[in-house]
Amino acid sequence: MTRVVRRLSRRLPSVSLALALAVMAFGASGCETYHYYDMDVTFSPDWVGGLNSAGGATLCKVIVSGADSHDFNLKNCGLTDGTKYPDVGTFEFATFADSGTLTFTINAYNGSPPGPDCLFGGGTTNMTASSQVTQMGTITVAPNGQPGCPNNP
Amino acid sequence: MVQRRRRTCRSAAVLSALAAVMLVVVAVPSSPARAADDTEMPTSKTDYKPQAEDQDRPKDKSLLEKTPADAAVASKAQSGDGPAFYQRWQFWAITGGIVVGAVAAIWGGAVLYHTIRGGDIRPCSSPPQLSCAGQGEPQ
Repeated sequence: MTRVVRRLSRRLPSVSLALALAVMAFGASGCETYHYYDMDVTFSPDWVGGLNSAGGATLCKVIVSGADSHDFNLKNCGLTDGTKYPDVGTFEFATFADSGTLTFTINAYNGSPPGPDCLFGGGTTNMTASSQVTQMGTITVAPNGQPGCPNNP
Repeated sequence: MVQRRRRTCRSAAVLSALAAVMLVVVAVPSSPARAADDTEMPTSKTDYKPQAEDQDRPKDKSLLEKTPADAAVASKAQSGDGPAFYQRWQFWAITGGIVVGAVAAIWGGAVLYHTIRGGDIRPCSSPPQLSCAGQGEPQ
């Protein structure tokens, strides 16, 4: 046992050095940084009647594709408060992607379930992913010319 | 068949006797009888000689002097008789170092892993958002 203790004490510095090098190598292997995309959602002036027609939105589905992929919902497309029309607000998308193109697609539905029959508007915006921490963008929701399913809520 | 059994019994008896003798030999030194014998004076006075009159003492003084080999043996015996490993401060210093190092490595590793994985995501509420989604956000 004494021999083991002696051997350990003799090798402790080299073991510590090896451990430190391993940690440094692990750290140098790649750090990930959050990048944020603050996307402002705006309804286009093409909505006939303005809030009267666009206000029928019950759900907006946001689909992120390209350098990253994700999807999430915006309840009522942010139109909970009519005073915010046409600029309803901003959503923030976080990603580790720092290169390539991020495509934000928004689909507006005016009924349930949010299927193709109830799709009545949408929009797409491309953002170039970079090392910049925060990028601001705008995504405009325009009518697609379809009535959707306003009578089938 | 009977002869064989008799032979077996005989060897068992011999073995028992031998075991009994061995037991006596082993047990006797610690017995009070033996202790009493040790205190008794030898019976034959003709063979007894006081050590002071020992004629076999070496005349050559060099034979009584300690040699380097004796010193080495003595120092080795002394080092072997030291405290147990767990009573040495080196043992506890190394053990403590290993324990502290392990805890620090686990904690530091977790922090490092979290940092490498992007660290903490920033809060969602500045400015008020419609939604916060993506990497690091709850689904």
